[in-house]
Amino acid sequence: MNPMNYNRRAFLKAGVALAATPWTNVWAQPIVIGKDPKVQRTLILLELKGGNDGLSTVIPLQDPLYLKFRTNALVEPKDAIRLDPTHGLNPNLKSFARIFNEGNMAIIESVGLPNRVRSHFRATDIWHSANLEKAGAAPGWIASLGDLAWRKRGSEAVVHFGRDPLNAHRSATRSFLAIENPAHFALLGAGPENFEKAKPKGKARRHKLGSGQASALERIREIQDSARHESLRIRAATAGYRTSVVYPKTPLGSNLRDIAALMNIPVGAPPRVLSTTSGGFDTHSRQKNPHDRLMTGLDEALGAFMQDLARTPIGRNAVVLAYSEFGRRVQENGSQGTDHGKGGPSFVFGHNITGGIFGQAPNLADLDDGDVKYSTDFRSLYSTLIEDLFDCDSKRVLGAKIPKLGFLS
Amino acid sequence: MNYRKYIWQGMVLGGLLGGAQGQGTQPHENLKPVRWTPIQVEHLLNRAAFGATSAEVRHWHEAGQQALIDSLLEGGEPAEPFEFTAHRADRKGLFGANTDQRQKEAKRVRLLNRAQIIEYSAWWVTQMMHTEDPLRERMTLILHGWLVSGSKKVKQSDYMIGQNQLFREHGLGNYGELLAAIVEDPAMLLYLDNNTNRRRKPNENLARELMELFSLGEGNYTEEDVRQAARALTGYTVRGDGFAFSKKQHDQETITVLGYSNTMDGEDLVALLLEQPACPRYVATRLIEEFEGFAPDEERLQVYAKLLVDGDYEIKPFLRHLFSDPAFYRPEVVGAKIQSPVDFMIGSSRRLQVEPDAKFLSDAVSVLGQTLMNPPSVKGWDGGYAWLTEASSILRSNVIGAMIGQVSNTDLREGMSEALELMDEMMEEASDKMDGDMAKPKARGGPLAKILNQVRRQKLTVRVPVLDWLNLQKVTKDTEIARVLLDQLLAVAPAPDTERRVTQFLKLGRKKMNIKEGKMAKTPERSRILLMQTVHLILSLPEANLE
Repeated sequence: MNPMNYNRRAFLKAGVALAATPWTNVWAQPIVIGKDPKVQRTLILLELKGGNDGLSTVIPLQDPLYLKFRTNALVEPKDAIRLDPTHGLNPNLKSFARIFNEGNMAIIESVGLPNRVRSHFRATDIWHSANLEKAGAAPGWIASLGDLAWRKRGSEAVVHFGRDPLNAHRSATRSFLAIENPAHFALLGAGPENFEKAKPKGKARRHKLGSGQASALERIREIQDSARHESLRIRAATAGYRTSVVYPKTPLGSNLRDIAALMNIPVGAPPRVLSTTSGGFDTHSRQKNPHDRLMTGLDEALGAFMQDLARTPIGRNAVVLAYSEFGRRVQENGSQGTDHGKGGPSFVFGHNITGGIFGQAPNLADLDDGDVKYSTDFRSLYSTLIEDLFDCDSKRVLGAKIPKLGFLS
Repeated sequence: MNYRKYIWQGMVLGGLLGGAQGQGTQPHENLKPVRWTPIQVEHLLNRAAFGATSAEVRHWHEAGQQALIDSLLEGGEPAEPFEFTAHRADRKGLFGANTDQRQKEAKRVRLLNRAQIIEYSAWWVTQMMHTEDPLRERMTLILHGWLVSGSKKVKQSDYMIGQNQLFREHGLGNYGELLAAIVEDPAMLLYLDNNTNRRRKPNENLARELMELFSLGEGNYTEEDVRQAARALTGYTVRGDGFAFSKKQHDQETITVLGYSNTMDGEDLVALLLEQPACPRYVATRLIEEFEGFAPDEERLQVYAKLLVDGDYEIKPFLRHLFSDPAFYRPEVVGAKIQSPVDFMIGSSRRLQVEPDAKFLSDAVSVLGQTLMNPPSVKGWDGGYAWLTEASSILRSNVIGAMIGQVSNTDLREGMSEALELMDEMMEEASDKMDGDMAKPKARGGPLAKILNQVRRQKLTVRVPVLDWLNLQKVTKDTEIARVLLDQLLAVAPAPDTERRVTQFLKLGRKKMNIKEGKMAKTPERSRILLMQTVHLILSLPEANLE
């Protein structure tokens, strides 16, 4: 250890220990089955980028039209994992099936955007802003929720791991931590590292700064102090995290492991919202094998994550929402793939949720211009989370009263 | 173009906004003179150009305010324009092709377009570094973040580059002409979906942004106005190699927008918007926000809105007035604006007097949150404190440190083991309860690794002429060295304590490295190590984020 770093480390340790106090005994707390009002509830967002093919994820076991529309890009109903007489899961979703049967997973059927959008870009903007007209020009829904639910907390309340930070977190007034690689979230170089030691001596030259610059400097110092603090906290939590749960060695696996670390390690108050993304779902051609691999990757990572979250009260109180910007067309295209469609299933996981199947299953005999009709407004996922997870007025975040779903009741 | 085409209900703007100026004098000649010290010089060069070295500040201090304003407005030799190609799928070659061949061709074109955007971004940052016409480049950047289109959606790189050239061309010209051109700009039409704005199925996207973001501002029109205005833009589409007007898709019925009824096309609509009293107020507010950092008060807003009306939306007289205005140099404004990533990387490089690789610079700017040619949304970049988050403030220091050879992959590894040690110390009790194994820290991945690898592989580290500055100023004492380095490297004045702390840093460093005060020249190699650490720490100060 470089002795020049001693002061900074001592300073940071003191800061981290202070922030950690309410959570230090998180491992000692008995795990309460059912909701524990004393434990913070955390939301974890997982965005499946590209538009997941819902009909190869949740399989309609009894709809004869399924096999008419699909010849290659499908899961044979006989291969699917049976959840009930009409619903099956892609056979690669073994952990999903286990979690579903434990009552810890909700499938929300036919989720979609009220307006017809087939561009990834635009659809993603709408998901993130929950604003049908202004989309990308409106603030993100998580940022708006932050103004109500964790107004006094700083950027550490929302942490995104990996690429493509969600615009859901963005607004002109709130910031969040976007970390591609936590190991690199460190102020490096001998100059900046050792500057803490240089205490000013002697008399200052007498000059005054302009009022604007003086207050800007004040604010930047706060950001930089918080950065040094968060840097060590997040690096220490992620690098030092130990678990016997085996995560797949994929970007999603390691991002979910880092999320679990921030939840499970008693270093400061855990974030209120964590997020990450997983890509590759834009399967326009020869879909079957790549999609099966996507399902396997998702299943292994989320299976491990859920097992890991079960270890602490705060982990057990967390809710995971996995969604994709749209579903895919019902009719397979000419290259054994599927094009951009409309409605598709979303998934909610958590040890304290109401599991089961919500919303209407796709009716392949009654399509909307060749797409699964959306019957669940995507904003009802949000209104449920805002009201039942964060105890806030969803109308103030979404601008409209959107009926809730039952997965948190 | 005649902006006075639609004068109705006595809405004569000049009359609304007050009396005419005195005959014979230009409005800016009636302003009080500005106290012209190096602080004011650097302030103008920070905001209107891309920062300045100490020598440039001294030069313009002597030459005077009017000389600098003239030079900024008149510019110098125009740069050689960027030569670009329209990359399109080979339609004839694809006749009868199967899906695989089509996808291959689409991928080929996609890659060519992406490469051309990367090349153009590098060309653009080179302009910002070296142009003799910096105010034009500043306006080009401002307009790119204001009348936004992005390559991720537009896809055709030639349209994006063409739009940027349009900003360069009109940036110091006429805002009205620019608006008229933008409703026929293929990149804009694609970005705001106007290619799907048809007579029987209007798309309101362009009409809405034209009013909300480009001309009137929120609250100065109704939803019905948006719906009606969209009809005026029906049939404005993109075909083949550019803008096309489809008469068949254009709505030729009478349209009622903002209380005025007639048949209307895009040019008519733009002229009508420019005639609204809200328009000069909105445009003046936007421009002043860009240069001063926040919106003007009502009194100044009226003056500047009137300047736009009297000048038929000419931008140069507006900026001449602004740069002559004592209010532009007031204490609330000077040194109080957060540098954008462009300003941080380009401005710092200019002050460091180094010549970094252009692609590296545009990559670095992108990693810090400002991807040129692809703003995050139609609103552009939020700017201000949105640039400076915890993560980005650390990244700024690391990226500029990588550029000047002060941050390497080795530092990264040491940083990781530091975190682990600390975790062990802190978690002694708790870690007993955490069973299982630790994961290997990830050395790869992430923006910093990308920058560090680029620097290492392509040997992009620049050499900072730090000893030259000291020799030139003939300084040897720690306090003097601190003062010279701070003056050279910051775009603003340092806080009083900062100078003393940098002095103390130099003193401690000298002791540790066994260099006597005043004798740096005797051990240039060791001294250089210490001086470069000092340069890096100055670039990571709170002050280094301000302009």
